[in-house]
Amino acid sequence: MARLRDRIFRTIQWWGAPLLLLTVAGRQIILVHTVGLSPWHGGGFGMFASIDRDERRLIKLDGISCQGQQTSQVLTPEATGLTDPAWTHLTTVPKASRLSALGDQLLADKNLPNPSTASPDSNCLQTIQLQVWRLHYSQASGRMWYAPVTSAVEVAR
Amino acid sequence: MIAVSAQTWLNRWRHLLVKLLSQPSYLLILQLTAVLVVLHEIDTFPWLRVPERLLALAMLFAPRLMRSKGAWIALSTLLVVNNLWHWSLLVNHEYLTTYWVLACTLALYSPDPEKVLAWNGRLLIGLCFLAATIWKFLGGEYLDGSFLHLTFLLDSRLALGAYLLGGVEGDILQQNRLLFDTMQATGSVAPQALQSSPRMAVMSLIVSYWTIFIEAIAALSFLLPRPKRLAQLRYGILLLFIFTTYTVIPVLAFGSLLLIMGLAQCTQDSPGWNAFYLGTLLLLPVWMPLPQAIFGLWSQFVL
Repeated sequence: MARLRDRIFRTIQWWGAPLLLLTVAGRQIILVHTVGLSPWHGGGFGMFASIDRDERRLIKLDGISCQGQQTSQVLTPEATGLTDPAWTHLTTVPKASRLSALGDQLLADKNLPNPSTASPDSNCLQTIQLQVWRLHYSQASGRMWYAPVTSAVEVAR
Repeated sequence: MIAVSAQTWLNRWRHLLVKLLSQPSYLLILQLTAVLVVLHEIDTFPWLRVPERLLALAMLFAPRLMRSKGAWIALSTLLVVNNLWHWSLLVNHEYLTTYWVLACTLALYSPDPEKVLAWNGRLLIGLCFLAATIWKFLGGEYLDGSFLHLTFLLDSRLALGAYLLGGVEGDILQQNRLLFDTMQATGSVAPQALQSSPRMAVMSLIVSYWTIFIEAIAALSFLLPRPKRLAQLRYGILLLFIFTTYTVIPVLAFGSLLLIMGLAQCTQDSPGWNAFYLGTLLLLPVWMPLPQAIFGLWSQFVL
């Protein structure tokens, strides 16, 4: 029994850290391709391999106001009231459940700035769609553009 | 007079390296790892990192703590908890630091800690380069030079490279950054053209393939025991990567960690590299930011 324990411990001593690296890197690759995790994060060593840095991502809000007007804007951490780490987490790991929770919070928040309306009383939103976008670039055309990372998440009052 | 003074400093430098290398090598590696934990991101100083910094600092001042398994378990626990809690915010070398601290902790339980450190250092360096190489193929933005071209044009840390390699002037880079900032602030989805130069496009492609080559060859040299010639060249390859990459994009913590893990290994099988690795590591805060600092001054006063 003691010999088996020693053998297991010795295996962990020699292989534990490298196996942990492989496991975390494997998980990161899966998350990038399933939930849209930014390749720069998550321990998969994807930094300096992809344009898709979390700082370059943006969250777009498309909404219909209580007066039936369509509105569209780019969210900022200040507008959402999220802390910097919470904002980074949301843009880096844009899970639908988190976007939905943010949508609920924004619908409840009467102070959400609405650039398409002049009066603060008309900031009321009926339905909103949230979507995370990422930057792309083509060396051949020399152009950069934004495209969605996730499907739009719709939240209604 | 200057020659005598330079000789004196050189002798002092040699004496320092010899003194540091004369202690058990595992102890030197543990000390350097603790220094890395203390100084990592010292410029931003996140409060959440205070406990691990304080513990590492205490270990540096108390030799008994430095050899204490309990202290290293505590340090590992703090780092692991931090990694789990902030997994999406951390960058790659912060993960690698945690794996390395775990390896240091496990090594203390071995009758031959140097061997455990050397083995773990070798695999961790090899695997991180392997993963970095795989990502260059997976991302789909690297092989045609798109990633580096955009990075040269938008990332202010690469302004030096954009100017020297691509001949792109500072005001062009500024206009590109302004265009991107406007695009991000307004959420404009219409494609926007960046200003560049034909030389920048060619150099982006060359640098991309150089990076893939050096990372892949580093991975193979650390992971494979054969061909023997390649395995023997691994310390030189790692230094070549560090010098060619981090003088352009200074990432002090990643560079330090690679040097510490490299040192842990060459103390075992290639002692000829010891002093070079240790010297490069100790002088890293000087040589790594130097090209950027010179370029900063130059572009301020000359360009």
